[in-house]
This record gives sequence, structure tokens and C-alpha cells, in this order.
Amino acid sequence: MFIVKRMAMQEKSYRRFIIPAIEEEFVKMVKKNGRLTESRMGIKIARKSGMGNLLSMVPVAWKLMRHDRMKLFHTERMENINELRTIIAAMEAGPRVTLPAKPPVVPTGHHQEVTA
Amino acid sequence: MREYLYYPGCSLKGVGGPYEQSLLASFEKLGVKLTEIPDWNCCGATAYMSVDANMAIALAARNLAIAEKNDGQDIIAPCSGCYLSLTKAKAMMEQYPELRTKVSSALGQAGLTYAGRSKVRHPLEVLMTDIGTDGLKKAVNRPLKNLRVVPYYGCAILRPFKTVGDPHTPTVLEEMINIAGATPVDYPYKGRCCGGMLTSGVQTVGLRLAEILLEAAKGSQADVIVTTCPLCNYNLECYQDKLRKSTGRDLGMPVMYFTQILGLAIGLSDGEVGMNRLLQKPTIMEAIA
Repeated sequence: MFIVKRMAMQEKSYRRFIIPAIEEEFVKMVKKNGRLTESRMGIKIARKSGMGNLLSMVPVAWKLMRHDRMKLFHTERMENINELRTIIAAMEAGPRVTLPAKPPVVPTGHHQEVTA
Repeated sequence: MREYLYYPGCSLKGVGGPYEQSLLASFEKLGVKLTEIPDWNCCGATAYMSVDANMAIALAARNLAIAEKNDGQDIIAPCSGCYLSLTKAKAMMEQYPELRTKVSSALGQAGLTYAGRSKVRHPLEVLMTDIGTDGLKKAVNRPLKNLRVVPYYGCAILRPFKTVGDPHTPTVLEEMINIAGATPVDYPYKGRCCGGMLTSGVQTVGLRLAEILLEAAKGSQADVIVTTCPLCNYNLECYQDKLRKSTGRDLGMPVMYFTQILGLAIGLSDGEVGMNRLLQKPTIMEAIA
């Protein structure tokens, strides 16, 4: 599934399904702030998926704000963003390690018992 | 006093606020100290994994490396998505040495080291194994009698890492609900998908999944759905009006976090566990409070 999504991003073929576009926005936000701000992400998703969808989300957003679960003008960000950017730059610099499409599955017991 | 590191993740600082509030209050009441990982970053999440898996693992690894600087205590990750991302990153680095070398090198450039010492754990598992059923039973002083509860686990704490028992028929949440004095109802969809990010991306599919879960919950004559994940909670709680309009049926039902149920049972007040922050409060709670 990840491979299909990546192909959709590369080919910009996401007019019908916006999930790849959402995920690109997610990455941009994390690279900028180190964290995700759900309210801003929600606005970005709704804008990308059309004005109708944006308007349909207003009542939910309003309810969440009234219940102290969403702040419109607040941005979540980490303090030492330069440290994270150093890690990101180092990861982008070298060749990518090819990973299998599926994550490793632990046959029995707790995941902490996994060995290489 | 038991001590753990706490990785809140982005959601618990936002829409999942009542989860953080009730978790911190309940653990404090149980004599457990949680210390937030300093200057944590996004866990990498599913979205980042889709774009760049190597980078997603490096993001998770930074949090694990910072945790190791703090004596390598176990990390509690309440968000099921964060729990899965951190656990997956740890497992991938154990299984693929080439990846671990690359990530360790990147962390090294930021002055961090990763040795794989810290364990990542979900609070439900910590409560039921470390505090234990006896410890929890002793702490309960206000059993939530007559409250019928739907136990909903979602996917991420069940699969693929089998955190809380059998990945298809888990029972640990039901045990916790019983300890809280409430009655867990039989709910066959307890490990089914809530819709996840599809409720944002492909709403026709995502909302249908949420509708199936809510419909079954309504049919079980329960008073409340209890979740272990902020995204599941959001999907089941926040789309009820939309589903009412699209289906013409009343699928409304209060949705709480398991830490709120536990918190109330151990004597915390409504305000302390964030009941005022729920979009719909269970009516039976008014009799309990």
C-alpha cells in the first residue's frame, strides 16, 4: 500500500483520492515544526478535498473548540527543530535502505522479545 | 514509586486532550510517575511511513534515543498510532542492521545514540501487568455499577505486535472494565478498523466503517463506547452528526477513553478525567458523580 501511495505522489495522480496529498502535507508540517497540529492539518485536508468538505467540517471543529480540544491559532512545535533537521538532512544525504513492503511480524509473545 | 517515560504524541496535545488528562490523573492517583520525554517530535506516523519509510523510522528513533538518555526507562505511548510507529521502528531496526546503521549515523550527527534499550508500551498493558488486577481492584472505590460498556480496541494495539493478548479476540479491556465495576458488553467488532485516516481522505469508505461500529454498539444496548486510541475516539465521536444526516438513523452514543472509566472508578472527579470535554456525556454518569 505504501508503494502504491508513493507512486501516486510521484505521478501526481491523486485527483480522485486525496490521501497522498494529505500525507505530503503531513510531512511538510513535521519538517517545519517537528510536530503535527491537528487543527491546521484538518483545514489543509478540508481545503484540498473541496469547499463543500471544508464547510461540512465547521460544526465538528466548532464543537471541539467549545470543548477545549482544538485551538484554531495554536501551533504545536518542538523547541530544538534544528536537531531534527540535522537528522532529516543526514537521512536524505545517503542512499535509502530498501525495506520490505510489510513490517516484521512477531510470531508469538510480546514484541520486545524480537531479536535480529 | 513506579516511574515511566511518557510519549504523548501530537494527538494527545490536541483532539485527544481528555485522554492525556485522564491518563495523567489516573496514573498519579495509582502512584505512578510519568515524565514527559523532553522535546519529543512526531512519531513518524502512518502518513510519514507512506512518503518515506526510512525517515519515519529515523523520526521515531530520535524519540527512542532521547528516552535512552533518561536511564532507558520504559516508554508509555497512549496513542495507538504512536505506539505502533515507535514499536515498528524498534522492530525494523532490530531486524535490518543496515537500516539501524544509517539511522544511528543520522542520530549521531545530532549528538544522539540509539542502543535499543527502552521498551515501548501501551498504558492498557502497563495497567494490567505492572499495576496488575489486584492493584487496580484495591484502588477502585467508586465502582461504575449499571454502566454497560462497549470495549473497542481498534487495530493498532492488536496487530501486528499482539500487545494486549490475542490479536482477534482480546479480553484485557473487558477485564479492566469489570475491575472498574462496569459491565462490558459482547461486541464482535472490538478489533475492527474505525476508518482511520480514511474518514478524512475517502469519507464514503471511512464513514461506512465508523457507521458499522456505531450501529453494532447501539444494538448492544450499551451506555458508552470505550476506546484506547485518539483516532478511533475521534472517528466514532465526531462523525455522529454527519452519519445521522447521511443515514437518517440515530447512531449517537457517548465515546470515552478507558482511562476515564478507570479514573472515575478510582475516585477521580468528572473534571479531573475531562468528562466536560466529551462531545456527549453518558447520562448514567450523572447518577455516579
